[in-house]
Amino acid sequence: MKVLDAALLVLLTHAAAGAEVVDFNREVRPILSENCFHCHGADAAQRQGELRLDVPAHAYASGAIVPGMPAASNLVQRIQSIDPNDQMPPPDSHRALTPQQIETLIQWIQEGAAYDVHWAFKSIKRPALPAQEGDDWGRSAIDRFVADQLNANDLTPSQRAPLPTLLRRLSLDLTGLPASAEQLTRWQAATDPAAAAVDELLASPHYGERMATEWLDVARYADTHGFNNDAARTMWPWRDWVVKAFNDNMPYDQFIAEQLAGDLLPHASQSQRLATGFNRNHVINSEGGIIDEEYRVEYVADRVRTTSMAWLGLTLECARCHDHKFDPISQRDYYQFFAFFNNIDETGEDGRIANAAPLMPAPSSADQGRLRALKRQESQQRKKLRRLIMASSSEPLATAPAEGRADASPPQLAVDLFSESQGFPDDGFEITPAKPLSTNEGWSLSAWINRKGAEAPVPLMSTMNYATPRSAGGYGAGAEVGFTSAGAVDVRLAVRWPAYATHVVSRRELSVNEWSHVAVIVTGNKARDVRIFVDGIESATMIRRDGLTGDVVINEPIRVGHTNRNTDDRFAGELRLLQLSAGPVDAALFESAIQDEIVRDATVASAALRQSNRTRRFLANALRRAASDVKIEDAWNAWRTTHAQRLELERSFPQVMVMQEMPEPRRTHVLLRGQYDVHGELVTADVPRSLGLPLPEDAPRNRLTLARWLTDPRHPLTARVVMNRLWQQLFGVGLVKTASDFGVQSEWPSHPELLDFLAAEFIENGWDLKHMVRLIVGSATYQQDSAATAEMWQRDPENRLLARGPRQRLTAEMVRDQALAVSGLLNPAVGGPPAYPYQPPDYYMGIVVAADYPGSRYTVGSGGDLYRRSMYTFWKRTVPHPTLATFDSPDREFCVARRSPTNTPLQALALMNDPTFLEAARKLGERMMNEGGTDDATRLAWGFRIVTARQPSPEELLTLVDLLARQRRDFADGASITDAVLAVGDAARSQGANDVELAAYASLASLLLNLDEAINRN
Amino acid sequence: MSPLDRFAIFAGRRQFLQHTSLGLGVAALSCLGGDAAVAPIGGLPTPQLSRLHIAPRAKRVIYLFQAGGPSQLELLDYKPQLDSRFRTELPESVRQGQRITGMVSGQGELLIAPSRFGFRATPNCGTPIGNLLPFTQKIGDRLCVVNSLRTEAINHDPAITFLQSGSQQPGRPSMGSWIDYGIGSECDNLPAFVVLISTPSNGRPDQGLLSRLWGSGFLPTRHQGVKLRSAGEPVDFLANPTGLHPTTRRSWLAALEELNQRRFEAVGDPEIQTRIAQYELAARMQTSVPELADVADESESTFALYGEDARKAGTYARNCLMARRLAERGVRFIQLYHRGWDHHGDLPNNIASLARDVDQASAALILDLEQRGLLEETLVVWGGEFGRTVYSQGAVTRETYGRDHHGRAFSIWLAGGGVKPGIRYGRTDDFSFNVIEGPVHIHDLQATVLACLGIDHERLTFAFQGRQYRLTDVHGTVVRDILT
Repeated sequence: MKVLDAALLVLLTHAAAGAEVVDFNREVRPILSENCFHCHGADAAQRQGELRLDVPAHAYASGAIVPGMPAASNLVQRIQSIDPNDQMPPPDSHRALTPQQIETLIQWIQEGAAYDVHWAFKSIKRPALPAQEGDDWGRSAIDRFVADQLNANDLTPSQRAPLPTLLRRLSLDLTGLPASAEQLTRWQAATDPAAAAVDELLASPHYGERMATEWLDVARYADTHGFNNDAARTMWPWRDWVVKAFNDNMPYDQFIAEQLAGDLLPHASQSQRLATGFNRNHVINSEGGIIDEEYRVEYVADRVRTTSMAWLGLTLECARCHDHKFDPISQRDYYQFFAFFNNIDETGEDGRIANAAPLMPAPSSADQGRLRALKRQESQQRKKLRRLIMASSSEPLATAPAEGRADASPPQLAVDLFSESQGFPDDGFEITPAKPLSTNEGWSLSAWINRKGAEAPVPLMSTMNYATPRSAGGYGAGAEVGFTSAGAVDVRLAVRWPAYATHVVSRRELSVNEWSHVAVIVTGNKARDVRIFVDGIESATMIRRDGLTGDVVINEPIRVGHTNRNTDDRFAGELRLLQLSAGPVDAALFESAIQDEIVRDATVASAALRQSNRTRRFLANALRRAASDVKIEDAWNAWRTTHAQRLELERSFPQVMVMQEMPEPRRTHVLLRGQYDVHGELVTADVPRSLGLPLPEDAPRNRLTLARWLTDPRHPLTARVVMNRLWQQLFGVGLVKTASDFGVQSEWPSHPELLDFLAAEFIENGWDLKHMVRLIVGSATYQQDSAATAEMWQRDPENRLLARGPRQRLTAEMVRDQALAVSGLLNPAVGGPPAYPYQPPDYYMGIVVAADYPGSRYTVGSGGDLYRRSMYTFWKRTVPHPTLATFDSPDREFCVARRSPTNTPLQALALMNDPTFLEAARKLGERMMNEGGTDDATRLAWGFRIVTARQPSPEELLTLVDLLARQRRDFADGASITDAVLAVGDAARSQGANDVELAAYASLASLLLNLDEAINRN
Repeated sequence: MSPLDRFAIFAGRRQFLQHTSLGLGVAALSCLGGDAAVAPIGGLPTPQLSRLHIAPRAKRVIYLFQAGGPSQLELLDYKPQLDSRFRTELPESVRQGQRITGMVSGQGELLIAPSRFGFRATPNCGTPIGNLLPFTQKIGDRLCVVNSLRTEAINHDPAITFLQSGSQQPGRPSMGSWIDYGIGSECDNLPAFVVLISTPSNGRPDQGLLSRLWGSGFLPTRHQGVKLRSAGEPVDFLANPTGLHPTTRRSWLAALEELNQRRFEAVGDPEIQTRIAQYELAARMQTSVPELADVADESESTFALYGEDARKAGTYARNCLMARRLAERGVRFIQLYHRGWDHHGDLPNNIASLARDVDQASAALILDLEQRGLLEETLVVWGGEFGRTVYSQGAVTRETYGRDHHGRAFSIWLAGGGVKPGIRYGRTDDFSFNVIEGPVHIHDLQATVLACLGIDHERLTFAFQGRQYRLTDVHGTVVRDILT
């Protein structure tokens, strides 16, 4: 690798040789950075001899560098010294300068030792186009920059790739799928085939999937939490958001803003809040006994790492424990950046069986439509009901029965906690239930409440244990029902609050100084098992937490009106008829019983209650039950049905993890040596000053301001970093090879001006990603043939000079998706929950934790689930799917900006023997027989084209025909049994065909899928 | 000519590479019976280090990882004085405010639990070894017991990740990957880095493993460990479909090579030739791996040595036997994991069972390697990710008690290639709580393992994201006192 880089450097410097003056950024800084800055750079803690070489004033003043006078410069003496005590870099540093490097430094000092700002930190300026020289190759701006570099190196571009090869390249690059035979034929017939293909591919829903797949690596998306327990999480609605954003061609600045700060946008939509799941994709640890704060800090650090790598192209994390050794980022800068992400209400240990808070519901767009329709319907039905009631009587209360109905059947009450005959003491009281209550068995609670104003949440009843130390067993176990400060009913069930808890809050809020009836029923441990009723009508709920790991048993004194937390949380209103009942309750029967109870109790309640406007709603209900008016009854039932359907639908929505600011910001300190518990100075959120673009003075220091800063047209990094990654996606290597590092240690760009051109074009066109994709794939540079002479492969193995087209191995996802596509098995559905394709049996055995957490067992799917695109495969971080992992997909434990494709024997074994590929081969074989023509040669050529997009050469076809004959003979004479290849996979077998023929064709199809050409974009 | 050039390890590899470029293709194809033309293959990448930094003491490593954190107090760190402190509070002068895990931090008292099991001194060298390890006791004079290992991590995931990759957080390459990256393979038909996993005989382990423990982090994925599975196929997708005759596969492979070779001639991409070579290697693995996994050729005396468990695939004993077979075949880094050492409660019964699982086979491996002349070139390491506390988690009686995680002091043993036999290194205080002599940090252990293989841990680096990374981060000192 070193040798190759050196070769490139020679090529590049050769290009610049005409200038002769040493370029600081290109030639000098890398030498100083690699060899000197470690001890004489920005990091104060590491600095030796008080010397800084990264700041010109220091370097000059110290005498290390005397501009124009190498002989007088101490630096020159030291780097030339052979005395081990004097020599720089010191021998024990394992660093040494080459004679050329020493010469470069001397020349630079001779020429005045001028420093310059690191290229990537300078603002982006649209460069002038190089003059068009020579022939008319490549008229696009991109081509002019590339041609300029080629000319300087005495190279000429390659000719255009053969059309089929180019069309296949485009299809795989833009959608991750091969072009179908029909597409190839259609495009080839167009006036401008490549342009026709690009138009169609950019409009395909698979374009978004392809772009998203790259982004999911950066965003470390997975379907499990990682770490020891590695339970399943639900983040796929966020993944679908990404696919949609790319398909909609959302402007990229908005793409950044919504993911970083969608929740903070004015009137944030459902979709914008969902986008912030980006910052919750990090791993989460649920190992018992970990120290919460240690891991909470890790999660925030992960957000810093991901955000800075994704858009700044900087390794900010290097400044977590000490000032950055190379880049101008201090430890203080790091924690200022950290402060942007340090303000959500999260816990270190979480996610044992479900998502970690904060959560939000994320219905699919179809469900959102269904929800809107139900709400509309409900509203109409409610209006109708009101009209009927109003018409029937102007004084509903008068017609209500004076006493409770004789046929009312209130729930069996185990404990009558409080009735109005008792006075309610200020500090509440305690009562022990006659028999234990449990969430597994179910229980319900009901009461009449008259809230007084409250600033803080107040408890109604609690068994939650806050008395034990937080870190100890037993802390935070119990149940609690109370009210938020806004008056919503707040229900908490926990084995360890807050991580392992169910926490549900009603949408309905109780007013102050008005009587309301509240009922809660609990029928299990999940959030959806908690139902809340206000005035006898079920309220929609918000799920705050849904990670309760087991039964919550109430067998100790229940604190009424207070908790044992050491605060003033006391219930301060009026309370009547607080009742608690044990046992399983049917929600529908319960609701009806409560309503009866309300009718009865309301009529015996105080005058104040009877007078209240607030009571109209349930009194209308009372009226409805009392007045046997069929029209009212029908209208009521119609609304009730719709209401129940809506709540049921809402309960079915997946909950995803999102960002949500805490009302009171968490204080952020510098953490000394990076340790979570060693606090240094207090800092506020800010961006590194050294990038030369301060935040606006008056802007709030929050994630939204950060997003606006990143997408400020004057920002030096964001557009360059994003365009470089796009280039990398299409060419295999970025213009800056170190895609995740644009700092001073980064590799010099192969085409700096081209990179700036792309960045400027991107910004000026409103961050239009499809425009940029179109521009790049439309260039002659991209469309070159990827074949080259041995000499050129040797001279420029990574194709940094772009004298040929890109040749890249297919990504893991493409390898499998292509096999599914060409065999006709592919299920092209976009989005949805993860899929479970074939995986060897017991693959998790011996690795995963023994406890049966969600996601610790893998059950192979069936039907269409087996053939979903690979990006939807259940992504388990600690045991990645072998078919994908073998082809270099990352485990997604952290942000990855570049996969490194490898070439291993395990890949050969997978392509030969993985049922995924064998089944695809079987189906492709069938297709060759059914659709490919009538004779062997035509069928084989057809199959060859389906896989590679081109026609085989006569020699290639001869090899295939010959092999087919041999395979057919082996299967026919029984040397090999046909079921070896025909019994693989769930897909139905083609009926009527001869098994020997099918097996022989399947074998040939398998060969096609194994071709090096097939698993490369050529 | 540097004296380093004389090292057999490299001479061996060079011969192999010559063999690869000239003859292996022929060998592979001839064993497949094909008649296609032989292309020179450069399939196997050359290692990063062209030359070893220091004189190597070992050619390979077998790491017997005891996952979960075995208690040093019962096995390797003898503290007879504790008997008299039964159920007394851990003195604050010992604890010194050190953090303890969330599992006991709410417990009112930290009461001393002396080991229920005795120790015996090894004849000649005197190293005390717990009576739960009778077979290990017999080979005590071959072992270097280190009582002074230290880690900062106190939970499983970060602690194992730290020991295996030098960082508590995910993302770094594992030790085996570093070694493969640095000095490559000695073997042309098996991966350089192989992983074997066993589970305890007494039930289900509480802790999971993570494939990142043998992952390659930011190194190319070809350096990651290959897990040999005990159920199903040892290597994913190794076997050809049942009923496919070798001749059918051979003609298929020959045609594939022919077409790939044609493509190479048209396109020029050298990766195509690597691909051709990898198909040949895959074909060799189809023979070599089943051969490796089939222990039918082992003698009765071998099973007597390793124990009856070794007849059963997936046991620790079988994996130890497999480790020897892998060592014989020249595999560079052999990583075993035995899970189930996490004994928070009822430690005496649980640890006795785990000790039974591993004792005989661990000792057998040492003796077997020794009698085959392999011990001197194979470094064997036995140990977990941390130790356990002297105080009990939960109630303590003479009969039973539990122990929480303890990273400040724990014990491992090493044997073979390059370490002094029959010594003890480092000392802990009377409570096995703090190291009082010869501390060995995780990074020191890693540096020492690399040193045994001839690698200077400070000079095996990989440039990633603007920084030179290494296994030992920016730390680590070779523990020279334990090396020969």
